[in-house]
Amino acid sequence: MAEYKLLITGPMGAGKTTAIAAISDVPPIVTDVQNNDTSVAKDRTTVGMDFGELALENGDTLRIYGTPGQERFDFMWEILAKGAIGLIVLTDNSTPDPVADLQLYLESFSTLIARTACVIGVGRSESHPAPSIDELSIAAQAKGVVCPIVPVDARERDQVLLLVDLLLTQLESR
Amino acid sequence: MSEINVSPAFTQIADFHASRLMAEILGAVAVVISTADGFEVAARARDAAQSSRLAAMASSIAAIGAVIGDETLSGACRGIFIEADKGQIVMVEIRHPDHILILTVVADEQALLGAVTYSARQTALVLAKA
Repeated sequence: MAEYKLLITGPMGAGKTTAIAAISDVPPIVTDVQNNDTSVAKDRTTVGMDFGELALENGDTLRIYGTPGQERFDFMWEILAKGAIGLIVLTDNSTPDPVADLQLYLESFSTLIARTACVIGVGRSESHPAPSIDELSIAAQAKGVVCPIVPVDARERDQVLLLVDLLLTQLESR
Repeated sequence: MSEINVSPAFTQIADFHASRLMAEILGAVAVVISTADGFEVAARARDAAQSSRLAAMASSIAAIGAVIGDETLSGACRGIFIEADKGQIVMVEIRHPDHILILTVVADEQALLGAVTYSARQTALVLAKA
């Protein structure tokens, strides 16, 4: 039985901690603290990492790590990206500039994406339909990334598992 | 630029203590007082560019320390101490009633870990009541 490391990133409030909690077989490890950034309406924010585990049908285990969203924690992005087999980027269509957010993460994790695989999950797209999947796809392509982009509700286990499946399918086809 | 939820009065006091510690601790390289989510409240550093980075790193390390303390049933994390080849880094929690903050002191090889820790802890106690 093998263990693999998978990384989830994306802007603050996109639902990374929620997504990991939704699919983890064990109680997730969470490093959230009081949010002092008055520009974001959120009580708590992840500053270290999130961690969960997911047993796959073949007996392998996925160790799932979540990054802090804010760019000031980019040193944690580097640490957490080491050894990962793939990246899920969760975006939030309700932020002021979801395209810029997406491009920031694709650029910051370009080394990991180039050697592994990537899936993009778009959050809150029902309440905020713009930008469309097509527009996000063009934005990703502009950063040299061609990968599946799907709407996701990070609270829904099945939807988060779909992102994991899409990522693993890409890796298997390599 | 994000605005942080810390009062100007507290920031002024924190600034005074950052300056005092920087002057008092032998070999001090940087003193940073930051929020638990990584925002700099007050800082003095030989390299000013280092302080906002230190604030974010202190936040992550303190949060991971808190989880380790919790998972091992060791209780709340009060401080983290890093002994490096060319110096030491001391991070202590400031348990202010309104905010959890972190005081980080970076010192070079002239400094004694015990002395740095004592000064940092005493200052954290003062700031917790500020």
